[in-house]
Amino acid sequence: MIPSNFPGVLGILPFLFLTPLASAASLEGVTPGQVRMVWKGDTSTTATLSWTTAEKGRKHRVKLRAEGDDDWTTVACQRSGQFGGTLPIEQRPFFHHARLTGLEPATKYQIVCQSDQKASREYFFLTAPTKEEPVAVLFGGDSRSGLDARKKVNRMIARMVAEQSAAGRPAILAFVHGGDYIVDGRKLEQWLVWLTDHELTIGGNGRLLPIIPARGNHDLGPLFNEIFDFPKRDGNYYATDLGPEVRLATLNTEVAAAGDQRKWLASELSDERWDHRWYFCQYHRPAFPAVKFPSSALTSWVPLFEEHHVDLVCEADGHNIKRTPPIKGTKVDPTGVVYIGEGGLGVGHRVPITSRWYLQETAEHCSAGHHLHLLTFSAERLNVRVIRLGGKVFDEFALLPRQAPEKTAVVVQPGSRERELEAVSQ
Amino acid sequence: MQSDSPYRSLAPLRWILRIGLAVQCAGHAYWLALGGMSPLMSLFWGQRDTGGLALSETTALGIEAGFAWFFAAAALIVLVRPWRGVLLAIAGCQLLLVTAMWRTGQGFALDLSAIPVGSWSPGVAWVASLLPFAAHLARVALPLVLLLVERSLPGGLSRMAEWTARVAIACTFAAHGLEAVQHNFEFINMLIVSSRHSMSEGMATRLLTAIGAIDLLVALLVVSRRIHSVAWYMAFWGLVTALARISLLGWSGGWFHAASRAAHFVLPLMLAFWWNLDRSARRTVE
Repeated sequence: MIPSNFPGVLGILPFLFLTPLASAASLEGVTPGQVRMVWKGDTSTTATLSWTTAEKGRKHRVKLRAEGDDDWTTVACQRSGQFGGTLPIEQRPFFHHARLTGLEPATKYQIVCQSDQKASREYFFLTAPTKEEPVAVLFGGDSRSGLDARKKVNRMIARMVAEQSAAGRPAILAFVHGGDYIVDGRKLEQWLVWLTDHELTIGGNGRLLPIIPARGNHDLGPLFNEIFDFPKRDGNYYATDLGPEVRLATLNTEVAAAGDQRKWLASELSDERWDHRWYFCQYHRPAFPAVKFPSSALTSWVPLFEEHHVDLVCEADGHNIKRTPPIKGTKVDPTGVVYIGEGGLGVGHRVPITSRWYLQETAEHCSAGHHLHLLTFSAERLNVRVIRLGGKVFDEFALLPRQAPEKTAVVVQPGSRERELEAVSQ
Repeated sequence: MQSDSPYRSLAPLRWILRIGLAVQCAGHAYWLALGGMSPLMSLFWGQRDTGGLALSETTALGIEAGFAWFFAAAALIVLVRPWRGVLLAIAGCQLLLVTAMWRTGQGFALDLSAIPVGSWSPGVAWVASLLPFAAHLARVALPLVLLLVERSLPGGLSRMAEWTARVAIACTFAAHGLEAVQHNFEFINMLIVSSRHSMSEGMATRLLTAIGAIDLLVALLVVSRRIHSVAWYMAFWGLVTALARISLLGWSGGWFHAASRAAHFVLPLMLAFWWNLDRSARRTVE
């Protein structure tokens, strides 16, 4: 008897057998391939440049120089190793991470990856500014399935970065990825295909767009940390500065949201929120989903977002285009937080359930389809634009900067202990 | 004659199972009726590379709604008259749900690096991928146990009914025990949120290790010997862990999650009840 999913099984066969060959074909010997840049922390002076080689090699380093300089500086890779994962050991390539520090802010750096005697082409990237100027980032998620669409979106990213620059608009500094890169994060063969596809985001002129990665529910296992240069047992939640006035918290819905991570977020927001005009967050599984159940973010993080007046929250996982109205205390409130999402970098799409209370007001701004969010931060506004695959703008809105609450009133009443009151002004 | 049977008071046992199954079906009906959030959606709509069948979203939602209606009707039917066909169909639907989870890679993924044989062995990985079947076995077994009980009364519970319940609840507790020992982060969230964030993550992790060890122990004991206190403990803990979903997600977001786990406390409750009655009946006969 032929099983009902027989055609499906046949359809998977070429994928199973061709994937490792296709990914291996892009790597040869110690020639650097799958070049990528990862951003965490202070992006005006640091960055991690990573690449892959088929063979182990002995000496892996980066040559870099600021544009206009004659001399190249050489930085040795601090971390190299063979990928783990499901492939036989002889088929597993090698990762190399060079952590670049002491960079000049707002500077164009030319770079060449070198493994033994083999060198990559010349690439360049931009460091974030330390003086306030408008900056932009792309946000998206869910590139795990729909590989043809994923490639198209990646090419669109490269085009957008180039066009933004050519048009004199604020530079797109980074690609904020909300997670679910591949179907099964334990399968190296899938990661290798993703890494090869990710190179399509590199412009024809060699412009590298740094990625700021969040972990998704499909990104299981240790390979995520090997690919993006996180420590072996890292929680994958961290903050990233994108200039002096923009800060991003990347959270991880695939570890406990309520424990240490919540403490970290509370401390991070308390310390950093009002040192930056714009503060936004990203993570994978939504607190206000358009099609699925709310994640633990709802109970553990949303109260903190509201308490500290986060400007925008980027979510993924639901495979649709979503924008909520400002939400505070589980109701629509103009002083609340806007949530956008939910991942459209290749994966098949769902129609948002706009009858949910938090999508009723913004139903016309929700849809299905592959897309990217372009976030542009300036002194006056945070502009959010949803761009469909093909370039058509589906949605656009702006947020105004919030005012920091006044921490003033210290009331001392006779016979009672001192109480500090926080007057929250909007 | 039924009235002369030492097992004549077994009728309440049947009602424990019928009410438990009705609650479980009601939970599933509501969950599926919400539309597009169950493993069935992942199975029917999901793309082929994720184990899905790549049907259209409308078709997949329609199928899911059909299952929701079936569970709603089944919840009523088992209370009125638990027909054999309906009970078998409920078990089949439960099995389909867990198969959908397994096929689309949902549920907790065991960390095989913690197991000495290592993740390199495809056989070990495949066996580990079957964890959802073990975790959900009590839900699949509940209608079957009711069917066996209906057929075995009034002459006492058949060995088949008792052993189906014992093995199913043992597998469910063992699977959850493994998840707890490996510190499933959803369980850590549940502990911390239930404590209103007063518990540290370190404390929750240690507590979870202990909970997992106890789960594994009682799973072993329930298939080894008739220990009444073990069955009572499992019923109590099954209820507590089901209700924990309400503490984590609130009543409106959590009641159906709790209800769909009714088998986790109903089956051990039935065992505890039956073992008590059987002991009393044997003493009476002696």
